Formats: sequence, structure tokens, C-alpha cells
Amino acid sequence: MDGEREKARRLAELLDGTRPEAEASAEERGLLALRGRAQALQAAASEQAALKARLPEVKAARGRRIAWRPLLTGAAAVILLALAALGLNWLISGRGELPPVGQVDEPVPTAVPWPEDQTTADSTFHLPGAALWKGAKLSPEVCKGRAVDDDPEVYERLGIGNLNGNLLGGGQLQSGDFIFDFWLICDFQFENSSRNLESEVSGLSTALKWTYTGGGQDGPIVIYSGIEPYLSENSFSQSASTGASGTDLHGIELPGDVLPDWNAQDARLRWAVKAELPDGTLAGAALEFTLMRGEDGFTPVNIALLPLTEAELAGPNASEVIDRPFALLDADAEYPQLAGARALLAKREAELLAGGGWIHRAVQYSTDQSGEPVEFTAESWTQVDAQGRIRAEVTQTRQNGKLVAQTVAKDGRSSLTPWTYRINLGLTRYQADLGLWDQLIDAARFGQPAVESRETVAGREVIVFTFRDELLNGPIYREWTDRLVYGAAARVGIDAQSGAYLFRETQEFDEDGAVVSSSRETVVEERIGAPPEHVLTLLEREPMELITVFSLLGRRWIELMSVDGGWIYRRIVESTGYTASGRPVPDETYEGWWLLDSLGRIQASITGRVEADGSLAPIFIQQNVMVLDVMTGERTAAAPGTYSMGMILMYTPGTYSMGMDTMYALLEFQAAGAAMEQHEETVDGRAALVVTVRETLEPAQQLEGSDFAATAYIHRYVIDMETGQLLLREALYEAADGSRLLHQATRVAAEERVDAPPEDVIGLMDLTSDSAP
Amino acid sequence: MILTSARLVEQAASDPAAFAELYEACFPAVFHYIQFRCDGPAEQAQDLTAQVFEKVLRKLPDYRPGGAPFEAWLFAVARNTVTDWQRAQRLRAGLPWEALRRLRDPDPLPEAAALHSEERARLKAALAGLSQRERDLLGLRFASGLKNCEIARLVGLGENHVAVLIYRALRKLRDRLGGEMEAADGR
Repeated sequence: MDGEREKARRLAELLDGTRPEAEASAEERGLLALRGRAQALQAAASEQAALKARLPEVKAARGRRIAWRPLLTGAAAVILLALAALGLNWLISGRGELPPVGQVDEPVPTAVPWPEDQTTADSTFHLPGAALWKGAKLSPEVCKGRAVDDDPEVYERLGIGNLNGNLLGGGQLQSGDFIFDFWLICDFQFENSSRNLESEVSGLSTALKWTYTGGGQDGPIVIYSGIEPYLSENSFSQSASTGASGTDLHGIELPGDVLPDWNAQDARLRWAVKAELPDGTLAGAALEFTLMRGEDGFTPVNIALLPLTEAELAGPNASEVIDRPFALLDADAEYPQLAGARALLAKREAELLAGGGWIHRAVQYSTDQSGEPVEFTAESWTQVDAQGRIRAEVTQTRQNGKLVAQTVAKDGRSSLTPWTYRINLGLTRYQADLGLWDQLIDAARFGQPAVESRETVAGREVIVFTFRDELLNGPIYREWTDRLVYGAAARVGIDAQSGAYLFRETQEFDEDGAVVSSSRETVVEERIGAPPEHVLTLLEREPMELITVFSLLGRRWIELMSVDGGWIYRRIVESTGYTASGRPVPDETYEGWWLLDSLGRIQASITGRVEADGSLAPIFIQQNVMVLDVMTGERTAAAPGTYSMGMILMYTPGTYSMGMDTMYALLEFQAAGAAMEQHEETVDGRAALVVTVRETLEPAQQLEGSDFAATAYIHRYVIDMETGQLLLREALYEAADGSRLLHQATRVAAEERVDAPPEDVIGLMDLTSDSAP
Repeated sequence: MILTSARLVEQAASDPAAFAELYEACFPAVFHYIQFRCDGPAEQAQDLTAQVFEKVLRKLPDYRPGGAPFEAWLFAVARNTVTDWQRAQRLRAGLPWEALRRLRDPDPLPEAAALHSEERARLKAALAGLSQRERDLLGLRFASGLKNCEIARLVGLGENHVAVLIYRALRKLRDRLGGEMEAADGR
């Protein structure tokens, strides 16, 4: 190893130019030549020209700062939207990130002060860390270079030509429509001494190449792997197309709270890999081997590549091995400082999951990580079995009361609406501590400092754990605050008596330690007899897929918003059908112009009614953060442009969002268990997607002033299949014989980008001028 | 290798013409670095390069000379931009964004144009077999002009560690490029 370090140092000198190339060895000359070849990655003349044209546009210098005008291409906008979706992580990984189980019936404290001034006790954990694994490594003898009979083609196939070790055993195996090239390898690049654990047993890893030979399917191939019974999702392929393939090097990774005592006995391990197709089909292979103890480390013996068993093919996380394949260390003995916390968390879990049943959890979350304060709530109803495994779950996330996302999990799978992102849940165990124990163990294993303190919050004794992360892998750039983060800290509070998880707070710091962003989650959790009716309805019926609607509206939204802001013009015609008075109401036409920034936030707007002479009678005028209600003369502060790309939302107050309103209205209907249907038809000569929502009226509703007896109330949304534009939304009454009576309709006559409103409209918008209405 | 001067960096924070000069001086290196990191077509690297400089433009007034070299700051922004993008890619694979993008872009992406150079194609194929950390380090070493000690600060590793990782990554790249290098070496 020292030899390698010396070679690396001498190569660096060559690259730095502090050692003449004339002194370079043959190998060094070969490596230096790569620098020349890498010039092929530099921008060619045409690429340079294209990039020169993409100088971020600078409008004008204002004071010390340049006014910035973002330059977003369509593709970049899509990426931004995808980044927005990243906020889904905490939903998708629900158990790990979403705040957890709080006290059974007491409110959770809010607004917990961050500083440590309430601390009444203080102890710092700084534990032996990697010393725990002393000896958990392969014998150097195992890793002494390639065996003479190794086939170089295998190395090439697996992409491990530079392996600092050798193949230990494995082979090729066909399973279903996949070919698995799966090998146990030795390479001491995989170490267990760092926080970014690469293998629990230093030097031991697997090399995998999988190839898909079946027909194309719509969706990704998901790869699962791990030592049984600790399988977990490993990677995604882009799409399930014929010939798709992937390679991977993977060390032993175990859940944080599993502390193997590798030295206790030889261990027979089964390392499985599985590929799941979009249709749920599974294929895979397993490497079995015995990790035999020796004086200077372990030696893997009796290595065999085997087909998966029926038990393993039952599900992505299903295992042939049920019991842990090694002895475990006693965490209390290893980390006595954590024994109290472990006991408390275990007690809480036992009480919450006792005998199975339903658990209701409500989480309030607030953050300014997106640059603007954002608050939302997530409410979940989870059915667990007697072993604490999740059988069914519904989670609904709301911002300002508006439903923005929903997950429905049952039969081991979860669907997330509106994204229709399906993930495998398997029989995941309900995590009552929301990952706190894993975090504590992690801190202990790797010698990270953590602080335990006791505080009194709202009259309640709370144990607070503070974790700090110095971000040793470099600062993180925060897009939405435009700042670099150099450190982060998290505080997690649990009830000192019950162990209930109460809150989690995070802060991120800049280079000087100033707070860049913060977030807070508070949790209430309790056992309940049964969930509300609408939750059961959601679990019982297969909700209508909203993916097509979402794609159409989303595409339209991008086209209107994404370039670099600007004006949008919209003209709508409102029709009123049935009125209680029976008096006919003429159609009314409204026009509006919205000036948006690149993120869709409204900078200025004017909306008004079009009079008979074609002139505009303003109703609302907005300039920056001021809105004038023209009818009343009242001026109010506009909702701030809280566009929250960093979160899961695309709907935000102050954001132009007509199509998105439709999306979330449909989501609400879906959440309420309404009957929904969609089909394609030609509307006014355009190919359109028509979504119909039916609310049954029981008993039938006799409309006042009419002989119409309504048995249902129908909502129809008509969306242009080509442009994604919402063309019409209408509400109708329906009688038992199927006849319908229009209640209200909004027809979108125009919705388009324009350079600017007409001069006379612009004149109306100046709230400060004398001519302002 | 120093991409630009401290004075130009300072001026660029408030002077559009200076920023344009800074951009001209630095974008080739950033593009080069991103090429090391990304498998996608060159247009994608161009998009990401543009994003990096949009961030630089916004963030530049907060940059304080006197600490780490500007190049380290610049490539910290570039690294995070690529990392964020890659993170997003993973999620996009499971979300309807790809479908959305296909709807938006009926014309096929000009990948053929991006890979017009066979040499670039070979390099990209070889880089695909390296880990992201290795690609990051090679990109920083060859594109940013930073020395190992500066890269070490940027990525949070020891200088010796960085040297070894770069050495290994180069050997790996050489192996993946096959016997060509050895043949060249022997000439």
C-alpha cells in the first residue's frame, strides 16, 4: 500500500509539473498520456460557439450587484421540475424521513428554541467507532492479485480491469429474461473504517453485470441486492428495453442497527441480487459462501452461484435466509452511553405496535430551505400486523389545506399520486423512532460527536439529541437560497417518559456559521381503532391513474413558464346554466395578463371583465406584492411568491397555476374516493382528454325553481391532447334518466404567451400613477 | 493552471463586461469537467455548464477573495450542480418526467452529433466504468487546473488520499481504454 502511495505522490508531481516528464517511468508516461486523450472531452469549436451564446444574460448593473436574468432552456426547466420532485424523497422513504410517532394523545410542542440555553444536562458521545470492526477484513492472502486461471474477459465484462485484488468465485447465470454475471471479489478499496461505509468486511465486495434480454416495458428495471435477509433496493436502470444492462460493485451493507460479531463464528452468507421489471416480474441469482475466520482476517470458501429459490422470488425483499446469519454484538454493552435511549425507544415501539392495528400519525413540517417559508402537513393511517410490519397505509400531504400528494400502499406496493410513482414496500416494519436509533448508532460506530441534553418544553421533559455534520465531502450548493452550505446540524427530541418522537429540527450553516436554512417537523402519533371511511375507500378501490392528466397539464405549464418569464394572456368565458331564480345569466368574458418570473411567480397582473364595447373593466390589479381590489378600492398585500421548487409542490400561492389547479382538484376528488373516469374524444374539432367526476346525490336533490331532480353532480374537465391546455371545465346536474343540466362552465378561449399587454392595459396597471383606478 | 485573475473576479461581480470575460475564460474548463462527470449528450453538458454560470452570476457578489482560489469556488458550484442533476436523474427514471420530456422534444436528441468524435465516445465509454468519485477527481484534476492539495480541500479528503484515488482512477481508465495506451507507450 505504501508503494502505491509513493507512486501516486510521484504521479502528482508529474501532473503538477514539479518533476520533469523525462523522469517518468513507462507506466507514468502511459498515465500522463491520458491527460492528452482527455482533451477530447473539451468543448469543440461548435460547442464553444454554442456556449458563448449562453452567457447568462446580464440586464444591467445595479449598485454592487448584477441584475440576474435566468436562462432556462426547456430541458433545464424539466430538470428543475424534477428537482422539485426530489422533495418526494421524504414521502417515498416515508419511514425513514417522515417524522414519526409522537405521544399517544398529547400535543406535540412547537416552536422549540434552537439554542442550547435550555440544556440542563450535557454529555457528548464520542465512541470508538471503527475499532468495533477490528479484524473484520479479508485476509491479505485472499487479495494477492489475479489468479492465473482468471479469464481476462470476465474482468472486462464486469468493468473491473483495475481491480486491486481478484475474483474469488461466481459465474454467469440465466434467470428469466436476465443474464447475471455475479462474482465475489476482493478489493481493499472497500473499507469499513469510514462513515461512508463501503463494506462491513474490508476487502469483500461483489461485482455484477446484468443484461436484460426480454421485450421492452414502460418503466425502469430496479435492482435489489444484499446479504440475506437484509436486501434493499440498489439501483435503477433508465428503462426496461431489450439489451439494457448495468454493472455494479457493491460491498456488504447492513442496516445501521445490525452489529455483527464477525469474530464469533464462521458465517455462511447468501448474497442475492434481483432485478424487477415494471410488470413486477423478478429474476436473480445468489452467491453463497462461508466466511472462514483466520489469524489475519477472513477467507471466503465454498463459493457457489445459485439460482434464486421460490421463497426469494416471492418479492423483491423476500429472502431464503430468514434468521440473521451471524452472531450479533450487544449494542448496550458496546455503547453503554446509548443504553437508556435504546430502552426508551424500544418501550415506545412495543407500546405503539402491540398486537398490530392502526396507527395515525400527523406531522407538521415547516422549512425555509426553498428560500421562502413553506409549511405543510402530512397525515398517515397505517395498518401494521402483529410483528409491526406495514400491511396498508394512506398518506396525504397538504399545503395550506390543499391536497398536493397522496400515497396509497397495500399488497406490498405503494403508489404516489399525482406522480404515479410506484415503489415496493415489501413488508417493511413500521419505524416508530423514525430512524433515530440508526442515527445514534451511526454516530457511535464512526465516532461522530453527538450531544444529549434535557429540556423542558411546554412543561414536558424532553430528551434532545444534537447531531452535527461538517460535510467533509465538501460544501453543498443550495439552489434556492443561492448559498453554499458548509455544515449542518439536526436536533431530535423524544419524550423523556414515553419515548415518543416529538420533533426534529435542522439547520444548515455557511462558512461563517451563519444559518442558511432551517426546518422543523413536529409529530403526533397514536393508535386508533380504525381509520376514517375515506381511507378505507382508498384502500379498497384502485384509484384512477392521473398520469396522463398530469403529463398534459405539466407539459402545458412548462411551455408557458419555462423560458425566462414574461407575459401570459388568458381569456375565459363563464357560463351559468341553472339558477334558483330561473333568471337567465348572460355569458361573461374575462381577460387577464400575468407577468411571471422564470419560476412562474406572479410579478404583476391585471384581470378584468370585458365590457360590451370590448374595453376592460379591471377587477384585480397586482404590482409586486400589492393587490388592488378595484371594486372596493382595497389594497392588500399579495401572497408572496412562495414558489417552492424544493418541495413537492408545483402549486403555490402567487404562482400562475390554472392547469395545476385542475390537477389538484382532481387529486382531491381522488382522495375523497369519488367515482372518476377518463376517455378521449373530439371536442370542438380537437382531440381531447375528458375527465369526469361523479358525485352521487343521495337522496336526489330537487332543484329549487325547477322540476329537475338531480341524482348526481358531474364535473367535467376537457384537456387538449395536443397542447395540454385546459379547454373547458364545467359542472352539471344529472337526473336519473341521464339527462343533464348545466350549472356552471368555464371555457378557456385563449391562453398564450404575449410580448406585453396592450398600452391601455399597461396604463391601468400603474398603481402609483394618478391614472390608477 | 489559473483560469482567471482575482481582479477580474472582483470586477465581474458588478460589471457585466467583466463577467462576460470571466465566462469566456472559465466556461471551457467547466464544460470539460462536466464531460468527465456526465454520460449524456454534449448538449446536456452545455445545459449544465450554463446552469453553473447562472449560479456563479448570482452568487459572485458573495464570493470573498483571499480564501480558497476562485477556481476552487467555481468548481464547488460545478460539482454540486452535477451532483444535484444526477440525483434528479435517478428520480426522473421513476417519474413521468421522461415521458414529459419526450412529449416536449419530438425530435431525437442530437446524441450522434454529441458523440461525433470517436475518441470522445471511447473516453466516455471508459469513464462510464469509473465511479462518480473517480470521475469527479479526474475531472477536477484535468479540467479545473487545481492541484491535489486544493482538490483535497474541495472534496474533503486528505491530499495523499486524493493522490492515490487519482492514481487508481487513471490506471482504471487506462485499463478500460484497452491496449491502445500500451501500444502508444511502446512507440
